Amino acid sequence: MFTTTLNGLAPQLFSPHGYCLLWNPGLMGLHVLSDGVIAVSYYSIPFGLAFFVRRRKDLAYRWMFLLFAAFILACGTTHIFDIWTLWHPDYLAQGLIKAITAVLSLGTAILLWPVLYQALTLPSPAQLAKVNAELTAEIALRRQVLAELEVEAAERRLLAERLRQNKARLQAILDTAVEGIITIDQQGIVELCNPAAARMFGYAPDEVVGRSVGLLMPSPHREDHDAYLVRYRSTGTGTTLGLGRELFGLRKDGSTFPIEIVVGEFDNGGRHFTGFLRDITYRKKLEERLQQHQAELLHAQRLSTAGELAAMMAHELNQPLGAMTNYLGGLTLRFKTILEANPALGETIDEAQRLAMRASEVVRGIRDLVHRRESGREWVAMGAIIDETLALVRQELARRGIKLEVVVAPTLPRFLGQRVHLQQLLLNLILNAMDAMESKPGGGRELRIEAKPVDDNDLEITVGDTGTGFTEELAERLFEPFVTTKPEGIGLGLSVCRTIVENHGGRISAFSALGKGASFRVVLPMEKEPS
Amino acid sequence: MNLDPTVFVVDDDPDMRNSLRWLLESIGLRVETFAAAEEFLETYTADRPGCLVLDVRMPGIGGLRLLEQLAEAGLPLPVILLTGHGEIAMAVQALKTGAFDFLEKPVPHQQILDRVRDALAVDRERRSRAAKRAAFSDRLAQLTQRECEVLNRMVEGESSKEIALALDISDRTVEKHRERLMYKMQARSAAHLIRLVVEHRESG
Repeated sequence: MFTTTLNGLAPQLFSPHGYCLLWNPGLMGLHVLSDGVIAVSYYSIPFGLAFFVRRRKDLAYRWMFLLFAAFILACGTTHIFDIWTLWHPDYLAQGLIKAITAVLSLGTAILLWPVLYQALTLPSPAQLAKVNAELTAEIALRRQVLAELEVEAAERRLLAERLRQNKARLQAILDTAVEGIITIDQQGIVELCNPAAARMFGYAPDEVVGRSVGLLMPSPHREDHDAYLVRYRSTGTGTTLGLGRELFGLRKDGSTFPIEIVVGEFDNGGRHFTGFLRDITYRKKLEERLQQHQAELLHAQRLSTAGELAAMMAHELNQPLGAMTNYLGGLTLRFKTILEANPALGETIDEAQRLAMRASEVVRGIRDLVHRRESGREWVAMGAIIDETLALVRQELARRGIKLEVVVAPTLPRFLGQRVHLQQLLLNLILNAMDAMESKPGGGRELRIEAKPVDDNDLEITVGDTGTGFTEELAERLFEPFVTTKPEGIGLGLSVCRTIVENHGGRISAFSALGKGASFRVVLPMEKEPS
Repeated sequence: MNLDPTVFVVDDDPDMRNSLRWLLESIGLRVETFAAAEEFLETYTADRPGCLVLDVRMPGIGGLRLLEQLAEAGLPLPVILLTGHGEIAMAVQALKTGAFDFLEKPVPHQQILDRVRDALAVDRERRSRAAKRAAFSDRLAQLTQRECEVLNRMVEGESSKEIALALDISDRTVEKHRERLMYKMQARSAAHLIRLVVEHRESG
């Protein structure tokens, strides 16, 4: 049909191509075979290309492959027509096919050049491999860096956690500290104030932070502190740091109270100071009480000494005055008749007697004057009296290396007594014991104080020492005024003791083993407290 | 044994001792002086009547201790304490222990004499009562058993008839016992006898 059509276009003027070959079967076969093989080969290539293009979706210049496929297909067809024209002289059809092939070839060739140029810039697989390797290396590096960053981040988290724990710990310490803690900067501005410090001054912590620390100080401490900070800033010298100083604090309500303060310094991008504060109101009160107690005792001691002197004087004067009145009285009785005969004589004797009584009244007056100032009786507990007295000598006992043993029976009832005088009694006995042990070597100094009930109603107090002791002969006279074994003593201490004990209706006695020690025993009747 | 009342003076001060002797002897009293309590205790025996004038403050055993010792022994004689400086507590203690009086020196001489006389009277009275009591006890001891029985029933208030009935003896025999009892016990009447016995029992 194709031939017919072509024949219709071109008149049957040409002979088949085989004619040119003289229908030589060998030559014919060579052409047919060669063209056939070429055609089949050419036809196979576009399929391969089509397959390739279909499978490689990412391929660049797909259209170029498809154009190649079309162009090769056209070339294959020209070879088929070469075989056809051996027997059929359809040269127009062949020419048309060739023209189509030419157009496709030309198009392909024209389009190929810019593509080739562009394709040159496409990287080769080697290049790609190299790039790939570089990329891989970079990725590995990046991973390593990432891992390192991870470790660093973990460390940072750990540090942050530790920091947080430290901060929590510090906060807990600040919050629970009994001592007040305040930090200030170089200008004296409060940076930190823990609850204890705030409480001490009657503020809330945030009321103090950010304000000048002078707020917490009464005049003149405030001015002193300001001046101190100015001096410190300009010269960098100061000496308040370190050990505790006693100052006064100013509360929010305007009251002041004694504090003890220790100041520390630290550098944290500028100088800062930390103050540790302790409210020492209680301690001060105790000290005051002790001082007052000491003063009271000293006063009592002076009065007792005066009283003892007065009593001694009264005794020493009343003896001869008494003897005098006795003699004069005997005189008037024995010589009644003579005296009646000489009234002037009797009157003179009466006058002398009156004067003796008057002298004795003077003595009594002095004695009563001292006695009237003595404190009254109150309900006292011996244990407390011993404690109060020991408070005055504890330091001295420790200083002299004297071992102290105190045994107070737990069931001692309270009794009526003169508190200060009983303390004075104990103090005198303790001081004597301490002096008696002065010549003893340090190790053997022992003071023993014992208080226990004896019989039914009596209280026995013993003060024993391991001192030099005294002879039996001296023990008898020990309580007499002006009897002393001390070179600088006046010998009134034990005399005062005896007076105190006797004023309480008790007895005092001394026992000693010479060189081994002495012990003083006081027995007081206890008038029991009505329950 | 010396039964004359004696004023015993114990004082460590010789002036006081001697002046007291001088004063007390002025009114004819017998005086013995001692310089210490121990000295007095060594010499004194409880059968010696009199009184003790004692200084409170002395070396050794003081006046109060001596008073206590005497009190433990039944206080054989009244004690007048003298003090150079009277303390109320000491005075109270002394009087509680049984002191007859507590005087502060110098004592007006008349006061000493008065108190010493009072003390001697008390001692005399006490001793005579003790002597009477002793004599009555002696007489009681001389009664027979039957006489004792009759006396006890009389004191109980039984009549002669009741006693005769209870002891299964005749009224006449009871009467004889009563007469004998009154004679032996030196009683003026039955009523007197009963009173003497009751008094004796009460004082014992």
